[in-house]
Amino acid sequence: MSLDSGTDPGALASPPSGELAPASSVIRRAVTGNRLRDGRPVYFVGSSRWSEAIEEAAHVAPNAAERLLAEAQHGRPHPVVAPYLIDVTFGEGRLRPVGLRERIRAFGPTVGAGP
Amino acid sequence: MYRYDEFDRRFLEARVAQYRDQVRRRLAGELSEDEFRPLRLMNGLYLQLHAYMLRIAVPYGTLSPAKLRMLAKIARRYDRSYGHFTTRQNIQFNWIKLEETPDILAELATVEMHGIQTSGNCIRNVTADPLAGVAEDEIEDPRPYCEIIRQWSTLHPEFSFLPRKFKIAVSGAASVDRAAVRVHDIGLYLRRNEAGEVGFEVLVGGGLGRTPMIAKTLRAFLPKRQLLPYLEATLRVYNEFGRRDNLFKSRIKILVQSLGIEKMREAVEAEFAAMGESPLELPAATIAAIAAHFAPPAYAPAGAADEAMLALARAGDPEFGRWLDRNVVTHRAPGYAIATVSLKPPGKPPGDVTAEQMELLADLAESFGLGEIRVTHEQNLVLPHLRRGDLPEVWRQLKAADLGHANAGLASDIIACPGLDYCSLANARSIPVAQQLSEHLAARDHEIGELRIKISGCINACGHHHVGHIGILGVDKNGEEFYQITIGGSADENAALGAIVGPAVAADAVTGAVDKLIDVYLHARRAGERFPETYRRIGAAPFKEALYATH
Repeated sequence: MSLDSGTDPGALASPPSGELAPASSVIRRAVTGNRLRDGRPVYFVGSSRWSEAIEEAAHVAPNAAERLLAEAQHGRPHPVVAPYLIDVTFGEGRLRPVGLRERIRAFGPTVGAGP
Repeated sequence: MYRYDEFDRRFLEARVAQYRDQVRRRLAGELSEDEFRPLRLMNGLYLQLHAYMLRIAVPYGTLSPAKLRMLAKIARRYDRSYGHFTTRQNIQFNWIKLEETPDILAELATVEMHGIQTSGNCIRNVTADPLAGVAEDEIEDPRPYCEIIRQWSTLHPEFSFLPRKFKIAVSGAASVDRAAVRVHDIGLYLRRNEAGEVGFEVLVGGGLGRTPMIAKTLRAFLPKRQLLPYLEATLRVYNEFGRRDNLFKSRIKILVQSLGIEKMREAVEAEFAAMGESPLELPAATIAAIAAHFAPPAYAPAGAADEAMLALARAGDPEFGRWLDRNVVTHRAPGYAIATVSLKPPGKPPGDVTAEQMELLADLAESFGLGEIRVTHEQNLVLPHLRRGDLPEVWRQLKAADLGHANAGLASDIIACPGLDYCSLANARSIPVAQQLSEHLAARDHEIGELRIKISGCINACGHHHVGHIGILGVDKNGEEFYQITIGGSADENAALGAIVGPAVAADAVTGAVDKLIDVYLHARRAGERFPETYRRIGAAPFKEALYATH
């Protein structure tokens, strides 16, 4: 069960790959990083704003990704540690990270919190 | 238990003050992440997938009730009410906020704890046999030597920027190894020579990770007084000749492999000889002064009534009987026992413990355990001084807190690293694999007997998979989790590296694969034979056949 709001990436017995990227979805790119003050994963929304909710992330076509990253890196002191680009899919009105690592970052551990 | 002196206390207070200012400057943008990262890592603070992770040292795995209560307080006030014990006797908190870390370190300092030497390319927190000082089979308590090494190595200016991290483990047991000594950069076994003198066998070049190796003997017998000069000579050779150009070849094991143990020995002995009469030589009085901190507590005389009470409790509750047989071992003091507290309830994340459980264990240690708790590298805890007559009541309270499982050393007592659920280095998840396996295997635990399953979520091998009787390594194949299985490894006195059975299996096939390996073992084993012995006798073929045969 996920700790956080959002969708659980799936139990191990149901490999999460099956949930990834429906055929109709489109690969887009978004910017993420860990918030400096508390380390939480955050997503660049635009206009120097960041959100814990991936649904709010700004996302662009791959050929515009570097420009989005440059915009996200702007500012000092910067509130986010080492922002970087990730692949996301946008389909059926939902934004989802591609790859298990980023899905776990976005939605929380698949094992619940603690014993 | 060792208590800080005024020097230790002042040092730690100054360190917290320095760190508080470093965090302030980082949050104000005066320090970049590149500048700040080494400073936070020197205090045990990592940045992981979901938050900062704080790794706190538990020197030689020894905790007092006050320390454990402080860890519970940290868990509750600054984290999510639980902590995770690691495979190096440390504890990690997974949900830490940078802005709160100066206060956390200040709180820890009040109970003589910190995160120093839990990260970076320094000599890491020294680990020890968790049964140190209480095991029947011990030559001498290793903890005074761990403490001596701690005092020598903390912020050692020459060894703070080694080619790579450096791990030391010490065991005083005569014939067994409960500290995985042979998979450390330097391993120390207390030994008795033909003249009856106690000294050390010094091993070097063990380690897991990308290139696993079993340590080799560097010196068969080292007099105790020469411990620090000899360690210093070894570290100097490593510091000078260890690879700094290739991260994957930077550990001392690679140096030992490339030089060969004979040339390594020559280099160390030459350095040692060149040091002459070192000021680091340990006078007997110094050793005795440190050892006095670890003097045995005042044990009460054994009582016949205790044994009668224990026999009655065993007869009345088979579950308690199983716990006695599996988790309790003989203490060197008559009338006392050593109990392993399993942090592996079937289906739960290995090594995790809640704030409430920590407080209960602190209470039990205070009421029944002469004020001591130990951490094992197998991610369990130990109450090392229990009166045998108190065992029924201690178990009753442990069981009520989900800490009374009779599975120490059994199949469901699985070691697992945090894996991809928390760790930024991982390629695959470990904890869910452990949860599924332990839940599945718990019912067969006592039929199977001792079986060490160890799971890592990446090649860095924090879950010690190379030395599992059955080892499981998570790998990423085109974005999907697969698990490579090894068999025949062992972390004990007969340390061995497991061999890969065959191609990695899909995540949903791991439990079935482990079942098949266990079935082969159960079918083939002879009386008293553990999994590694059966494997060495019958070879890999039957296991491969069971796992991969298509007919």
